[in-house]
Amino acid sequence: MTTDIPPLPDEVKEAIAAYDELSKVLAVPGDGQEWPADRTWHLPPFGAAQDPQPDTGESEIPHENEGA
Amino acid sequence: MFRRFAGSIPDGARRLFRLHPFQLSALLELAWDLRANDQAVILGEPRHRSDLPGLFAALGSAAAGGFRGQPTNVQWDHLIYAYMIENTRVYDIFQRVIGEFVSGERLGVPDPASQHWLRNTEELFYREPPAFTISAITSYVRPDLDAIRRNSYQRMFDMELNHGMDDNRPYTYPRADAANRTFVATFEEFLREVWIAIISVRNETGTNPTDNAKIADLADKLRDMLLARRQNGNLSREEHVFTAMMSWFHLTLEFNSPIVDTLRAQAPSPEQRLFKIAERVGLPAHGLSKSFFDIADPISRILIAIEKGLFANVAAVPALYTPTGAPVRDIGTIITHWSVISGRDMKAGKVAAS
Repeated sequence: MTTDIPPLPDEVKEAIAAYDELSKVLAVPGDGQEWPADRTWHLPPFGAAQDPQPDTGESEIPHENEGA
Repeated sequence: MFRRFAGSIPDGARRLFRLHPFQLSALLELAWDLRANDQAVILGEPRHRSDLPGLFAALGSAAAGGFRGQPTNVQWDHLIYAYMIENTRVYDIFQRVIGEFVSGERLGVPDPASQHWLRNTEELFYREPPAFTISAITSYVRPDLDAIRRNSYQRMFDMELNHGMDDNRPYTYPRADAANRTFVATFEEFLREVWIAIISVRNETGTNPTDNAKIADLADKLRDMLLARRQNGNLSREEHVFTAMMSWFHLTLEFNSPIVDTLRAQAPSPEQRLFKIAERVGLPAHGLSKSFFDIADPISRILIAIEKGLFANVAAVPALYTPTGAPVRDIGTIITHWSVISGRDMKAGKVAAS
């Protein structure tokens, strides 16, 4: 004999919700599925390095013979 | 991680395979730096795997805005994912594929897209990782990447890969005394108890053999032993690297990718593609590869949930077998495929010693 399942206790709901959240974090793309924007990776901006500083002829690191 | 970097199959995966290996390595580094970092939970737990800085964090990239727009609170797969995928023998088989293509033309000439894949795969997974990156886990002290993986599996699960050397000799690697020797027995008892609960959940007649207290106790034992191996962040780097490595090969086989096309191994499923490739290079894949592929994701999720303590509270245990919940679907898949690959039926009643 089977029966309807009574409402879930809060602890069970919370555990299922936490598992759902974990499943989202660990989700992998399925064939043709849309991938959420907040889980989309972007390449680090290697090409956007700052412009080279003008050469003033001064080194930030003192040369060992400086002042000798 | 590489399946998540791809974002879509096949287009995202094809783009990913064409990146420069340094870019791929940088993405891995970035994922490490953007990992979940909840200082309120113990070090080693899924939300706080490690306090070691990655390269970008050390260089101050966050302050410079380099992390803007990236996913946050990143978690990667559990080490069990790498163990399951590696058991198909995919790593050794693709080693032979690369060996054939870089030393001759017996398998043909790779097409331009496969040239990218071959270069990336060899550079990322069959040589020394770049120094100073989080992936740099080999050294003079531990030069053998295969041995490091086997050592990690032995420490965490006390499980061996089902294959040794290519000539079937056992693989020798450093074995640790501190290993979870009761992991398999405890996990199987956990699966059996949850299975009893699953088949009893709608049954109102007679006694209900479901034992929530026992399931919670087993989940707690599993949590304790897994976190014992992860104290202070132990094995986190290895897990990050090995799960990423296996996800690269998994992604390669999830569709008719360029290298699959080049090898004329088109097929409708990862294991069928692997079987064809294995045949071409003369190194058989594991006959139960389908089960290893199918179990890898759900068992990774369940073990991470266990490490988080989601089921260690007796009142929360029904979440594992509530018919409308996601956990029961994963548990069902795990029970089916664990029974297949272990040869021990998780749906059979427990046999008591007389």
